[in-house]
Amino acid sequence: MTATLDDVALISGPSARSRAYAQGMIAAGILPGTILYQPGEEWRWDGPDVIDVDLMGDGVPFRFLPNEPARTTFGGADVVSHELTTAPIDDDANLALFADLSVEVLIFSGYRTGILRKAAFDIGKRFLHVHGGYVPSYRGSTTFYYSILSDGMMGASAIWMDSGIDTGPVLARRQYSVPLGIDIDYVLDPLVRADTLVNVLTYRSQRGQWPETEHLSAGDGETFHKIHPVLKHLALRRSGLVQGGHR
Amino acid sequence: MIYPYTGRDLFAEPESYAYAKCDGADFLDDWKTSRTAAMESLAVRAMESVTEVGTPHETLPADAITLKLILQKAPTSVAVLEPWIIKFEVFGRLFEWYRDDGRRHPDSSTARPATYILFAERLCDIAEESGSLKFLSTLLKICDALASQPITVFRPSEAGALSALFIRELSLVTTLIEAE
Repeated sequence: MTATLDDVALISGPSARSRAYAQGMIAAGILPGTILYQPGEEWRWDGPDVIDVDLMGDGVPFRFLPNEPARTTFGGADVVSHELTTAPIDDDANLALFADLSVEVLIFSGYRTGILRKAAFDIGKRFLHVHGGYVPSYRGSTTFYYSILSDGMMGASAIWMDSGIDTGPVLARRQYSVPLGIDIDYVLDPLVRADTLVNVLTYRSQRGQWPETEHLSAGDGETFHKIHPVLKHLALRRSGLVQGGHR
Repeated sequence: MIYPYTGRDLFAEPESYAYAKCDGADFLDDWKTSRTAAMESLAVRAMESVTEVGTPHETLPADAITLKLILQKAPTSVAVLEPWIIKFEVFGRLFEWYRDDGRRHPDSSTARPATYILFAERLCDIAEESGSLKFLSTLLKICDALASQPITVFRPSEAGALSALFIRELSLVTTLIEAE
């Protein structure tokens, strides 16, 4: 049984994260009402074609096919789709298209776009973003690595985007232990975000409403910058991704 | 392998550190080797009998404040350092003079080595006191940029200060490794 969220559009890039979002949604039996495909060359993964990751340690792995483009995953689904002509989602042409869509929520998957410019918040739609960190402790960039080093965990937070850096109202936030030996940037990062996204969409699908939001002060917690490679290396060691690494 | 983040002038051409490839078993040793080599050169520079002339006199415009003064006024204030961390993380460099609104003064030169070293020392102070990985990460980046400079840009006294800073930086990373 598949549920379609007619008021939700997924903005899908040719990226690992969009693929994980698509595969997570299909596995959960949830479809967006509309899919907006961003242009760009499809990303290519050189590792295994199938990766099973038991994110919650509950014996139910997320089966990830890194090389399967989102449009292939959604191929058989009866969903309205549009091809965007430019990738940055806050480009004027894209915002004009979004404004005309009969959806209320756009799922942002981050491809070729960072912080949205103000005009994006003036089109009467909400952007749902899953940040790769447990807010407010971990806002900003590469927070997976910082949290692995500090807490031995990864986190994700589903938020309604605002003009700040990961400061919007929080729909859900989850923490995950770090399975050893699994690539972080292209596998764990997308899967953890996808799992949190699917959690929120499942709630929406089953209850007909979005989860109540938490409003966390923008002044609380820490906003991180891209992690230095020496610290990233230490986080990789703890994740079993460097020869001689250990926890 | 050679540590890849000091091979060019990083103040002139900042490093993005995006999707850094650092999973090699020797990466940490390569970084330590790079810093050790820099410290050896700095030790030589510190012993040179170079006549240290003062900073060329520049009249501070009325609407400018020196970054050095800001850093000296609030030695361990996270709130005071935060805007300068953001500037360094975004632009990869700092300037000597700023205006009240936090923007660089149009007549300012880029920050001098002594100012960068002072900024790095402040980051180091907070990283040592709080264990903050955020401050340590920015410290590592500014140390990369300082290590990427020709040794002759540093006065002997600055060379000594930078060498001492590298020792503190190494100690912070060693503490993290030992915590594994």
